[in-house]
Amino acid sequence: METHLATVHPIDECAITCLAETYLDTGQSHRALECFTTLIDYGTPNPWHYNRRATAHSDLLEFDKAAMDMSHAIALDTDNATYYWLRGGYRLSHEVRAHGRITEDSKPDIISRILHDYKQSLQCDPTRSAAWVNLLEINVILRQWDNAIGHFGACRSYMSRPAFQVIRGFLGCLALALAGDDILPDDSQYLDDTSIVVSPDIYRFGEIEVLLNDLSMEGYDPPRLARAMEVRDRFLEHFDETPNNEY
Amino acid sequence: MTSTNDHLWLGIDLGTCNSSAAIKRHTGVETIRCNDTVIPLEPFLDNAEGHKNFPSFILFNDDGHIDAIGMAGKEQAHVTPDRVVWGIKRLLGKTFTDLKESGELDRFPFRIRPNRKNGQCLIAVADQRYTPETLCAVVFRKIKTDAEKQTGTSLNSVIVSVPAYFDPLRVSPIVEAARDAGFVHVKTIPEPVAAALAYDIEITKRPRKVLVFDLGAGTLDVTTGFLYRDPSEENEYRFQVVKNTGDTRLGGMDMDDRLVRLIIEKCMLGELSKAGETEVRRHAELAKIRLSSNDTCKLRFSLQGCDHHCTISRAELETALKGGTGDKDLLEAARRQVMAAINEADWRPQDVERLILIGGPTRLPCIRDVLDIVFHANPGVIKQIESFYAGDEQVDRMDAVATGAALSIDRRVDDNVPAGYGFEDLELSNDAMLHQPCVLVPRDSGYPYRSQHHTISWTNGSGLFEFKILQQVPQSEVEQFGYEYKFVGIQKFAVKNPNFCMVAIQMGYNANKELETTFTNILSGESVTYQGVIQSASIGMHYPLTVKRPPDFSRKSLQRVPPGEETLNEFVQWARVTAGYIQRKTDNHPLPNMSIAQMLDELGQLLKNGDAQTRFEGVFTQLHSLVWNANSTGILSQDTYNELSNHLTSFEGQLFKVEDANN
Repeated sequence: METHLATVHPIDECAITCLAETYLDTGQSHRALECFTTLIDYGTPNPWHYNRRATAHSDLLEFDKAAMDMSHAIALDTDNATYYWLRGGYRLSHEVRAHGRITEDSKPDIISRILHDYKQSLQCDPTRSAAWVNLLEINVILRQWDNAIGHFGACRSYMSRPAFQVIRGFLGCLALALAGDDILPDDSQYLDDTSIVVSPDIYRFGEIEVLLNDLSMEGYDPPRLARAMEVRDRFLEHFDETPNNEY
Repeated sequence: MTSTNDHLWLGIDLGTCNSSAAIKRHTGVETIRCNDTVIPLEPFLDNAEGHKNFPSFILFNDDGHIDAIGMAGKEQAHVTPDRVVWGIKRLLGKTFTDLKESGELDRFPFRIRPNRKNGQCLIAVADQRYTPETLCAVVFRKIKTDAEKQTGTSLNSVIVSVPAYFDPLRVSPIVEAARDAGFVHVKTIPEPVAAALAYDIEITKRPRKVLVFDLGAGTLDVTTGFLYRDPSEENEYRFQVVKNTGDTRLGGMDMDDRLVRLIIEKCMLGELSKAGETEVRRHAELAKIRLSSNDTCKLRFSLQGCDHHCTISRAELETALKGGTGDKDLLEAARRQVMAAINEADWRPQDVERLILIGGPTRLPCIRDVLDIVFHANPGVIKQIESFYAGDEQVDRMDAVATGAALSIDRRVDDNVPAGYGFEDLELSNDAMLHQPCVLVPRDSGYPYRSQHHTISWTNGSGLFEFKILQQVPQSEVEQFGYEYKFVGIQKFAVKNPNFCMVAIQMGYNANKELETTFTNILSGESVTYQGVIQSASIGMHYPLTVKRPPDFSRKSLQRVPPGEETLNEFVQWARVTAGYIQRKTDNHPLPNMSIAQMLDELGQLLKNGDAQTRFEGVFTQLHSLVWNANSTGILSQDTYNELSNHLTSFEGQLFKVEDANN
């Protein structure tokens, strides 16, 4: 990377944006951060710059700063479903990173803010698969099995890609197993189709793994837990690489 | 052997806790009696004494199978609350999360679970699961059987009353349930109109301001609206809802709860078993009915071998309904709902020209006091209240709605839908996408209704169109919910040739008040009509939504990578098998579909030539459209569609690969 920020005129937004994006692509998050800060400080106000700086922050595991940047982006573009969804994700990641996990005992205001972000994202775009999946996941993490099953049914038509259907199937079947309900072939249709590959980039497995560990330690209903573990194992077959079980 | 009579229409008033039915014959309207083996307790022997003929209670056995419908269920409701299901009407057409967030689920003592198929509700009894539609059909079937027994005729036509504020998405499950119960012809009528017809209220061409106070066993619904006769159609009656308010936790059963507490206190009964509480509840209901006509009521009953007796006065009943500290004042709550309906309609109590009272608990003098207070400055309505409480009406108020429904068949009754319907339209500019609602069916449209064809200005390269269907909530609810539009589902439409399409949308209501959406490709004539929507989420939305596009920083020059020969052969072979499969499905489908047949022919032409591999893009597009359309028209099941769609997506990745030219 021979071109550096200093060699580019500060108001050449297009050039700085290209440079910043290249830094992000090549994993040089600190440099990308610098570029986006320049764009934010000196360029035309643009929510996209905050959004991308948040990505750089999240690459550096600074999720609180990332969430703050998303709030700025939302202030500039209140209708963008992606921005709400990302803010919810960053808030969740921050909470998990700061406290090790998110549980039903986590601060209710934090949980309600995360849920609000996902719901707000769906208000802007009700067919947004990722927000549905997150809403489903957070209900599973909070052990709200019925709510999770409700969302599992409600979002059936809105999964845009087979990989999302697999994640939806995994979370739904997990909720069904833990609630003590039967899993019907229709529920696990996508989960059973191992030809569908789920990339570790689109789903982080860590929080669910922590939940299952917690349940196991607490001695949660063994037959239900055993079925949940089966569901987990079936889900793992969809990854052609090691699943991302980081928080 | 009974004969089928297409000219006899059964009128059904489907209630949250009690239903009733009536039929119009040459001699007049005949009320249908419940053919129940359980003899109700003393006060319920006669319909005039305060109960409808068909309690909407379903009793299940230990295995979760239906044991009895009607009075037997009602009798057991407090003994085994988890095995007696009631209030199905309130669960129809609503999602589990909606009901949970509104607190309505807490009302029911039986188990309600989310439906994993569509996010709506399932009623769970032991190991069995029932949809609200299934149980609603069970109640309809019971009424149908008893009506057929009483009339000696097989009945296949029904007119069901529905609350005036039920939107087309909530009416559809009721119509479906009636069909499941074996009715061939199904119509619906708004409850206020049915009541107006039963009471023989003069319906004029000039819209009259009407307030309907419907206090049932489970809920209170207050509706303000205009009742009038369509000037162009002499026999067409309309009810235009202006505002609906209500309390889902205010009804005869809540009053009984208070009376149970009063009786326990007066008789010093202490802790009671479930069976004991049921016994007390029976007497509480008896006291409530007697206090409608008497100043005091003496109760005498025995519990576990001990005799108890007490006297309850009207004043004590009133105090009980008002409740103690921390209790909800039921009378004040009723008054507030009436005032809310009037105020939010932008009326004054003096403006109301006609008050219609429905439901057994309206007989209570304390309810009369509430209405007297609200309408004290309106001599016309006060006179109506006096006449009503003097018992001047010719029709039993418990059967009034069913009677009105039966009577309505001679007259064309119509009402307006306070909500509007449309879809999300898209406008593209250089730096932003503007999403905005396009309302095709305006608020307060009557039904049947068809909108104009609306042609969309944008197109989709793949030929696959996905439309977000929106409900424009009634004006009166905008402030309450904070949004004007509600997403209610998506509808899909695929065209054969994306380069030769201009899509037009038409929406409206059919004669049953169900929402109908028609998509047409004006250039090719392809068309598909849907009833209802794939409703699995109801999300409030703010419009317009403007999403700014990210800055353009095109660094990469991407180019297509042609697919390998093996991939092409595999794809073409799969396409042939799939086309053959859909052809067989189409041939076996009961309804011929010309559009699908045409698509199959065209795909067949593409695949027949030896150069199918070189024309893989055309084959792919054609096949994609075919699969979508075959699913939309019901030729392919959802499962098959999902499977084929997944295959197509995986081929798409291999056939249309791109790479960065700079690398």
